[in-house]
Amino acid sequence: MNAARQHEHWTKGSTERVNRLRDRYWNWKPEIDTERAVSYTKSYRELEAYDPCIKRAQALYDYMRSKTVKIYEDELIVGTYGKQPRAAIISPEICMSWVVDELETMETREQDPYVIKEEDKEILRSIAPYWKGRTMEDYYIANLTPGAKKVAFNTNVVFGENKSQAGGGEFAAGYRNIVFKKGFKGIRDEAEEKLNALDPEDISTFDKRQFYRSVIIICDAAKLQSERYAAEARKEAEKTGDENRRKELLAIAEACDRVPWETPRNLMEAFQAIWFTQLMIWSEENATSYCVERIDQLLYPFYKADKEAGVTDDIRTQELFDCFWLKMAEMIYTISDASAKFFSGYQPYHGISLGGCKEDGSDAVNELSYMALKATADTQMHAPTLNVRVGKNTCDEFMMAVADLVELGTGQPAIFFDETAFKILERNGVEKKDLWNWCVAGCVEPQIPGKTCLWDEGARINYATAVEWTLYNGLSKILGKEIGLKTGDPRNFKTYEEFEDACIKQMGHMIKAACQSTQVCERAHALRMPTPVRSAMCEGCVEEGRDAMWGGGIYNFGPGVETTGITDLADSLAAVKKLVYEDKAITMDRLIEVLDADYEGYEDVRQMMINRAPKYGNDDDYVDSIATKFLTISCEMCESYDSITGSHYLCGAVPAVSNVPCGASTWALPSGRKSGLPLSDGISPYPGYDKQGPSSVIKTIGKLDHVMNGVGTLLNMKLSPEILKTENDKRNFVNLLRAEGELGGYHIQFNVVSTETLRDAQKHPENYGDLLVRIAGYSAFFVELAPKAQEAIIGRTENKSW
Amino acid sequence: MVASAERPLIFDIQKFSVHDGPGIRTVVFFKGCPLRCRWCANPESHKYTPELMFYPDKCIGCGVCIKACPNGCIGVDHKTGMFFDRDRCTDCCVCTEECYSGARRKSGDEMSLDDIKKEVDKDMVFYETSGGGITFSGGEAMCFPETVRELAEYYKGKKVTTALETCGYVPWESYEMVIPYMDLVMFDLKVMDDAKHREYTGGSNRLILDNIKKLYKRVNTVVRIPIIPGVNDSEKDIDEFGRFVSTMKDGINTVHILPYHDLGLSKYNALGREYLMEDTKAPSDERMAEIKKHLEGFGFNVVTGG
Repeated sequence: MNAARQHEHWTKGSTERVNRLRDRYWNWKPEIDTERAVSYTKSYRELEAYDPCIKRAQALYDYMRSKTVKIYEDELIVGTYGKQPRAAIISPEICMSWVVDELETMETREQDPYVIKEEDKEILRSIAPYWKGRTMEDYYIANLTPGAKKVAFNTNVVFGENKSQAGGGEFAAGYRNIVFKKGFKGIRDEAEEKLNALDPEDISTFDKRQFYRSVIIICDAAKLQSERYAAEARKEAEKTGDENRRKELLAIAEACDRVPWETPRNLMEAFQAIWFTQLMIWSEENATSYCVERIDQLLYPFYKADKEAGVTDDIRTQELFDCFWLKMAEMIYTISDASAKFFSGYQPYHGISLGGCKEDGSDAVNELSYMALKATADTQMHAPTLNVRVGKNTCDEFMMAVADLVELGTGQPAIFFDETAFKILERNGVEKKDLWNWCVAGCVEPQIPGKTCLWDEGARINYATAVEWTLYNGLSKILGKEIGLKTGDPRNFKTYEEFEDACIKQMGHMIKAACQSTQVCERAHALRMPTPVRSAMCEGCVEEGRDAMWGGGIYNFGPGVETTGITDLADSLAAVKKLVYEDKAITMDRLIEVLDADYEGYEDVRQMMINRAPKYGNDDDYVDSIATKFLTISCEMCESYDSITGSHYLCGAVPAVSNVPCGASTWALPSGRKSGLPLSDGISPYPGYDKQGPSSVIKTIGKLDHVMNGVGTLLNMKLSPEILKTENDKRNFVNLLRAEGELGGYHIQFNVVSTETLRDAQKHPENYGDLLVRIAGYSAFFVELAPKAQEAIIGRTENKSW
Repeated sequence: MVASAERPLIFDIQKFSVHDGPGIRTVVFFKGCPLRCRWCANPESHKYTPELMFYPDKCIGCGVCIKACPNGCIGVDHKTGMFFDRDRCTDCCVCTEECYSGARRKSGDEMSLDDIKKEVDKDMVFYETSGGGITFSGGEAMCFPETVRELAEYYKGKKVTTALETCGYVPWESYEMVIPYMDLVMFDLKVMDDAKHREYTGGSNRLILDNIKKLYKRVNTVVRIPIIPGVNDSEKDIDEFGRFVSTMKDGINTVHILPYHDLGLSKYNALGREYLMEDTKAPSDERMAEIKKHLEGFGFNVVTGG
């Protein structure tokens, strides 16, 4: 392979076309789009008598027939899932409650507001009555078990309702083996063949037959979608006076004639096939994290063939990458005000993986790996999220290029360690032969593309709740309700072990509620929201004749229970252990008195809790061992619950921005953190408590069992821009990454922005419209974040000098 | 010349240092230095004994230190709030054990060899992936040659690279003790004119220049020059540096130039000491580039910032 790291320092901007497309992107405001809502309502009304899978497949077909189809100036890859780019589509069959409740406030809400026209408000009001009692969310609420309802529904303490208002999401379609090998035509043929092989009078195979029918319908829908775009391209070609554009449009039309119905023949068709398929998945279910498997591996054969045939060069290829990146950035995840606090920044988490190894374990990095990094540098958008796989065999040159991109400060890419991912996946039941092709399908969650069905985030919990419930004998102080267990008055605990045991019990109580609530969510999805598109894109479903939501895929694991605040728990327990039970510097009685006051008037005690007890993130076993212990126990607890598909629940320290809302519902903690403030995110240290620099943080997180965290772990590190300037700095950065891999870490991502810059951006947001920061599994535009989330970003410890 | 103390005090162990030798390193800072360079950014490294550092910004005014201080140096003044009588402070540091907020800190801990090793060993994986290791700094680590020798020998045995930062103002015998176990020496040159050297550092440079002339023949040596505006940054100064180091071209080919900064100012305040360089500004990037070019003219590989 040729040397491909061309720049030591990347800058924004690409070809004139890409720059124009990027400028135009900002003309599109996130706007409520009711086309899908209207179309689905009409279809559902007409199809009342049919099974949900048929209803959903036909509704998608009808939507593809009726939706607005437009091709915009300069586009090389075409298609939108809504009426225009950045449309916020409404899915009434999933959930209407928040839509109706928030019609008048969604335009002015603090986090991620949507433009909404009066006529669209009217439309939504007019269809709302039909959906009453018919949505997936209605099923969930009606069938939620009493225990789960008390603890995990609308408490803002345990978030069990996570999947009740949106699609399943968190999925990587099978491009390599399905779209690029069979096309939708091939899938349709298979489904038809299977259907025809079944006795039409046999009631025992009725579900299968309905499933096959649903798959056939969505394949036809995929064909219809691309046909309409082909026609539109030809229409535009006739209209344009620009001969170059006319040729481009005709080429686009040809690509749309072909894919994704049939398999792609060249690079442009390959990109278009991926994009149309993403639109299908997205139109079926508006949700997060519809990810693309390693794009450098997927596209390399097309690139090589095109280049050898002389039909493309590297500039043209880069331009296609950049155009695809801008398309990915168009996706809007339409969510309620409450959810926007968790998924801030109009962020759908649609990630693209790259790097890693080939089937034989050798380094898979190729020319396109560098182009993928460069596409992010060129476009500098909040999406797609770039997930780089790094293994022992990954070449230094590529690692240095990763450092170049990190230096740019877009918060990209996230870095994942192959060796740990392999272990996680093997533990989840993945066969050795499939490991090499893993990709991220979520913020950080590892899956085998096209073979895995997993909800990464079935529910959300925060560990600090267990500490609060232990201190207050089951009371959630901010909520004002006793929803935890009665573990006794902690003043009567004679030893630290008693305190810790109570905390473990509380954690179990929390996890039980989270899992039980998710189980009902799973049923709600399987019964009300079968997913023929997702199933067609997941090997095993068509073979078995079973929808992905009922476990049709080859691999089913999880759902995951995602967590934050392990650090707050560890710091709190270490402080209790050391200062209450060992040093006897404070009695439990007084500690509770001080916490009751939220440390107001007790700054001396707060300083003692902060400064005289060890803190997570400093390579100190005293506190790190507590984090390790609780993380492991929580994983075991999750795994004791079963999914409706028969697989085990999994745990994973993946926060999104839940550390902010979770913190808002968590009282003051013995760690010194005051009530309502954000918690630590993922497995990152509490802001300001890690004093020993990045290597000690990595040593600390290296002690955790990343393999047991079946849906992954997430580490955020904030860096000041000046530390990645020289080649020497970058080499040490690469060495830092290598060491994390050695230590069995799974993931790391960086914010490279100085505190001064962020403060200035708060004061003058108008100057920082495109300032990107890393949130959790993704990046967001800083000025689009709510003030609290901005503070949380600023608060992360910044490493100024190595 | 100050005789070395019996047991060294350590005032900091800094992980993930990447500008003090190859790869990812841990720097062990020994307390005590025979020189008193006016621009020193680590004033707590001067004395060989523990010192109290007081950061008023961190003080929450809880008053716990008032009771703790055996000498009555801290009290309440009804006009100005709390006061701290530095002149009567004996650096006993009893108050630091009581202070909740970390406003009062003790600089200088007695650490056994095992204590130091335990801390430095923690980052072993980083040394392995990066070719890094341990760097001895200070103060002047060479005031404690026995300790440095034992540690350096230990880390050499572990295949970890060893490096020394030194001001050169110690007896040659001290270097003799550590040379066999040292992979790299970063040797400071401050001013070539002896009278000026005495004025700004409190010591003659003769011993220093003698030492480097012997040292570079025995161990891989890099020259480090702090660029202090108004002290050693004139064309003439740079030329003198260049000419002197050129006499050792058979061994030395790398020169680091370190721009002056005033980041140590808060520490002077914390120690209750006067900072004599307050009017000095950091050299501009342009000036640093000129100096770099000037020294490169002598045929050296010149690195700014080390």
